[in-house]
Amino acid sequence: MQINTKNFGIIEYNPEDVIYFEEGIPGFESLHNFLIITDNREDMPFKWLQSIDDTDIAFVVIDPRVFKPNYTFEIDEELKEELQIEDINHLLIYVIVVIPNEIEKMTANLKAPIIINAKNNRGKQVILDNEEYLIKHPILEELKNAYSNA
Amino acid sequence: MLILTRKVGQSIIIGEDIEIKVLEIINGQMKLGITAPKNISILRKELLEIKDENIKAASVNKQVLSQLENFIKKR
Repeated sequence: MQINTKNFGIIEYNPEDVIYFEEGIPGFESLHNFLIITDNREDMPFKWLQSIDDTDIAFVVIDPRVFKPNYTFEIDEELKEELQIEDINHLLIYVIVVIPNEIEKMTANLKAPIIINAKNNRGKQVILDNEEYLIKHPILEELKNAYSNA
Repeated sequence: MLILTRKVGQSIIIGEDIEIKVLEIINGQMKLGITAPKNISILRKELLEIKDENIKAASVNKQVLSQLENFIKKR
């Protein structure tokens, strides 16, 4: 299968790789099918969550544990059921990154991670109760630190 | 802001047909039951902020990706 995307041109994908968001994501409730696009560079921590339903829409995402190794949250019964989670080791965790023109000011939404069950490719953006995690969490310094320690 | 004190099991009424009832309070978390007509939208406030944030995030373009790559290379 292929789609013509705004940012990446025509991309080929395997239908098995499509991630299904039953409720869409907040602000984009009608978009249900997404792909994770990974850069070939191994050291590139950012990935793209590309919509298949509206090919103009893509989000920059990152695994928050890259810059915040102790990022944790509880998975409640409701989520377990919705994503049919059998084993938390199947879960992929990403947060959406907002990148303004001044790239130094980029932030990640730690309050609302995207959780994907890689076993069945079902995903959901979840809102955490944890007050420590901000919707606009600056990430540049932490990213730099993570890489300088690597 | 109008401030009212309510106990578990007590309600407030807004207008003629919206009722908000305190169902349970555990560890500083309150469970509310809301009865309202179907056409009234009820959202957790964070959800609105997260919508806005997602909409901002979606307008990122490809140029930013190359900037990001440069940033990673520069380190």
